[in-house]
Amino acid sequence: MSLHHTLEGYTVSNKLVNIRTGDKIFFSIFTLIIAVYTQSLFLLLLILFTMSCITIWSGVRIKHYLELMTIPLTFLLPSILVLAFLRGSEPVLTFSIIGMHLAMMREGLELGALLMMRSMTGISCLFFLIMTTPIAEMLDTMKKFRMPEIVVELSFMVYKLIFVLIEEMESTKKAQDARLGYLRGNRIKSLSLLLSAMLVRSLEKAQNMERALEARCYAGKMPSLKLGIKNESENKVHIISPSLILMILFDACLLVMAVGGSVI
Amino acid sequence: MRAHKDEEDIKRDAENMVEVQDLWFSYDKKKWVLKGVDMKLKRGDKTALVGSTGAGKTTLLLHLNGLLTPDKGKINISGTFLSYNKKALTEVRKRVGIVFQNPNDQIVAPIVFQDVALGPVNLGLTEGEVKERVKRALNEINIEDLRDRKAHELSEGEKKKVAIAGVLAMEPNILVLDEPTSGLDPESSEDLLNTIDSLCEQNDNMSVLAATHDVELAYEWADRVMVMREGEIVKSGEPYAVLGDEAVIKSSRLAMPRVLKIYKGIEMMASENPGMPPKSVEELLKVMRDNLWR
Repeated sequence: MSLHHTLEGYTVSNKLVNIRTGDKIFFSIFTLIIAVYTQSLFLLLLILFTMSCITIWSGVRIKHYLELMTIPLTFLLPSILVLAFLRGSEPVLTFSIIGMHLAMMREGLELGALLMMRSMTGISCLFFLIMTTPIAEMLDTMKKFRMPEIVVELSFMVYKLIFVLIEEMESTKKAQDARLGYLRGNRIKSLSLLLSAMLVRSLEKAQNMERALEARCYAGKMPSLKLGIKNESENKVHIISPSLILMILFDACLLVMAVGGSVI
Repeated sequence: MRAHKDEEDIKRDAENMVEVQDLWFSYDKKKWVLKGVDMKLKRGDKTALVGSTGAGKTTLLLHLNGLLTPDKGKINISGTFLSYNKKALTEVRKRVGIVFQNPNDQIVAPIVFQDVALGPVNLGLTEGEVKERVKRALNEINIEDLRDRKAHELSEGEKKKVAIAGVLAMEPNILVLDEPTSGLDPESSEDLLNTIDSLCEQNDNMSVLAATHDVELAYEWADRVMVMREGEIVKSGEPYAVLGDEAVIKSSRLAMPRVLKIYKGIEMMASENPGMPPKSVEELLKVMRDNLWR
């Protein structure tokens, strides 16, 4: 099953699907702000652990979660390594390559570790949101927050088309692999072919999707999951819900720890 | 004289739900994909548009609800000529529902009921009306049990049905299907055709137009057949008359339906008229019993 379907599957069938989207957005964004503000490695670890646990508990398989987490790690690690050589004055490790003396600094390493933790914590907050909230609900809430219609519609299109692109890439790559496209020597050529084929086919797919939407008078509205609730009483909206109180309490604790920590 | 003409016009409008007059279209302004297509669809008819790949079938279908604008020619839907402003297009898209060849292009929402509700929600209907329409559409196609299923978990046949339900929720009176059975196994194909048939039985006024290169399907299923070749409709009429015309079939890179081919053979061998041309294998067996094994 493709990544797209796995993710969409999680968003509609997780244990937190019935919690109001606004609450989830508030919780995720507020926690993210605390993660950006704090300097405490412990607090970052606490947020990362809690957010990951909630997301996995809600129904996301650990394997998928870790797989997704490794994607940003591949971008982060090289930049953090570079940072370790650039900042600070106290060397931890020195070595030389082709006559060049290189030294890894303690300050650089510490800064790198903090940066990495902060990034991963931020990502865990966003993963919590995107894995527990269906796209239609997210768009609905964006509209309620008075986001311009063009932004909401573009978000939906981008969301859909990213997956179209991924699916096209997967199928083209399979076709190339089947004909030994990535043997040593012809990798670059195969990659260029893959990219050009992907572009053309994705455009075609996007056009088909656009036509299909237009044929059904699409005017920027995605039906909400609430439509699926058969019993109207289940659809009641409470301003204060137990889950919201829990989220506020958690964030309040983090805030106190973050502010307290920075004062100390 | 004038009054007589008006009466004739009204009668024609009532009979022909869709009338395409001299339609020309080109994607790149170099090569014509449609070359003066004239076509009529009657109320309540099941029509098959048959042609080989690249004959221009899909392009023609896309014109019927204004997804493409013709370079020349007119399209009349239930008595009104199609115009291309937003309001008129919304109206025509409510009347003409298109089901695309690949249901994966059409199904955009993760859950079945959400996707079926897409059209009604965008028409600005109230929540109650949307729910009612979704219920009715799923019921018409007999897929109420799929209502809460995830769309990507469905089989191809089920996806096709969901795509049709999504279009039916707009309550069109003309249903246009592009290659309805492509990518389906024989059982799913038959199931889908039965569903379309029962849909036609439920709605007397609904016309169905299916584009296909499957002559067997066109012959068995349709009331009328039109053959398309290189952007032109070369012949239309009763399935027997159209698909039995060897010259047309050959020049259009199609094959004569097997039942019809055998019947033609019997016609040549039998001393007297073997009776009505059979539509199905069962009917063919009856003809053989009556004429050859008597």
